[in-house]
Amino acid sequence: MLSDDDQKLAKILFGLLKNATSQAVVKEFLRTKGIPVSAQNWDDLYEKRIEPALKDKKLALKDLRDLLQQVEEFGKQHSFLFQCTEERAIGLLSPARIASIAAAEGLSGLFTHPLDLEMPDEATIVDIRLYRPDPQKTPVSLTIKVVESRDINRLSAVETDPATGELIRRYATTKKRAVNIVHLDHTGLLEFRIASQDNQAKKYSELLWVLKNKVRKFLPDDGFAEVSLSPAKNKILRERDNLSQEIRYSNSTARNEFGAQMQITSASVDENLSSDEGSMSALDRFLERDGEVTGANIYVKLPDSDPPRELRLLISGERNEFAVTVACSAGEYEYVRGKVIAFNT
Amino acid sequence: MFAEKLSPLIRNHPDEAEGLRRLASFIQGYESQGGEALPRIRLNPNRMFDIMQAGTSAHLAILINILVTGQIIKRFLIVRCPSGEGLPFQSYGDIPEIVRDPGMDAEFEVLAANVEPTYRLVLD
Repeated sequence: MLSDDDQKLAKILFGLLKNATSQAVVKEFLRTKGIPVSAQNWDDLYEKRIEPALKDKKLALKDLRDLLQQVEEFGKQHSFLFQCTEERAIGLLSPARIASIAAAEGLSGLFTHPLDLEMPDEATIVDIRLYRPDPQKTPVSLTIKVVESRDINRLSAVETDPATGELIRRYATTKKRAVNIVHLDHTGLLEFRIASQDNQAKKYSELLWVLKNKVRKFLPDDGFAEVSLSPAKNKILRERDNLSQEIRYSNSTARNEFGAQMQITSASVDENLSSDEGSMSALDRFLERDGEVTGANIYVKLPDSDPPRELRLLISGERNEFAVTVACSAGEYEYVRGKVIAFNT
Repeated sequence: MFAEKLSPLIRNHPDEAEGLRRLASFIQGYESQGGEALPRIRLNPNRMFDIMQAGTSAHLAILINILVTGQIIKRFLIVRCPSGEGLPFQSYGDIPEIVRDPGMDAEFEVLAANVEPTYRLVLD
């Protein structure tokens, strides 16, 4: 039997899953637990499959939370990379330090009971995870999850005021939950992952500033340098022949030392720009004469995926920014991030 | 020419000397080719960050301030139109709310995202 509190929590977690992912993903997850998955719709899936599994203890609330973590913490994000020394990272990851700061901020409960907030009034730290697989050694990583509500404005009407002749544009405002992740690992790599916006209401660098302020007590700026991704952008173009099995190009931008800019885009997102010799030759020539790549928008081919799958990767925007613009698993995101870092060395 | 102009700055700002030397080396590369390209150089903050390996935005701001105050570089602003054309202005105060995009022959509203700070070398 489920307690009333657990029933309420189960419904909240399920509601968050519905917004974050697809039925196919949830069903696949249930299959791994040996739970039947046939259902006509989301409500059916919950009432006929998930709720009974929870009552029979074939499924636990923790399982739903783990799945939510997987689906909403990776992909459809803009990531910003920073780097500190390993020594500094180990100091910042000190369990005593993290516990002390959490206690001072009234967040100690999050270590064992993350908050399951659907639509917080303001950006809220809902989870703090210090990953320490070996208690005898320093932690491997710190993850802080910050959930916020964003206003989405959509044009609903355009009218002319007959009295004044003014054109009036009316917008309908709805709220949407956004999940942002901050992750520091023991090597000193610090990543801020900001949920993609629906309307481009703000620059991602502004959202980064807000997120950094939110976690500043845990992760102060001192000692962190931005990881410029210029080397990766240039390498992707210059070594495209060697990388043809790994990536497909859709758009490249470049700038030279005299401020001239160049952009080349494939006919559609389905096509491969690098098979267009004329375009690539033009870009090569531009780069040879004091040019640098400023943006590389590519598709990363995921290995061992059947059917073959690609993830869209934008390496553009701020110096240390890249974006995976589609939903993906933790493993897929880590593969793509690994590619970005490998291209950057 | 620029090595002489940069020397006192490098001396007077030891904490920033490394970044300033890197910029000096970058400029020297163009001077050694005859210098004809020097007046055409247009650097943006991202490029300057990479040249000087500034590390952080705050450090970049310090370096740029030293260079502007030391009259090595001068800032101007480019309003980047939807067509890709750039309209130059000397200061933010000079930029109107609405400008005409010469590439599309239509007006557009200037937002902060359309404004690009750009730096040229001070040669006079």
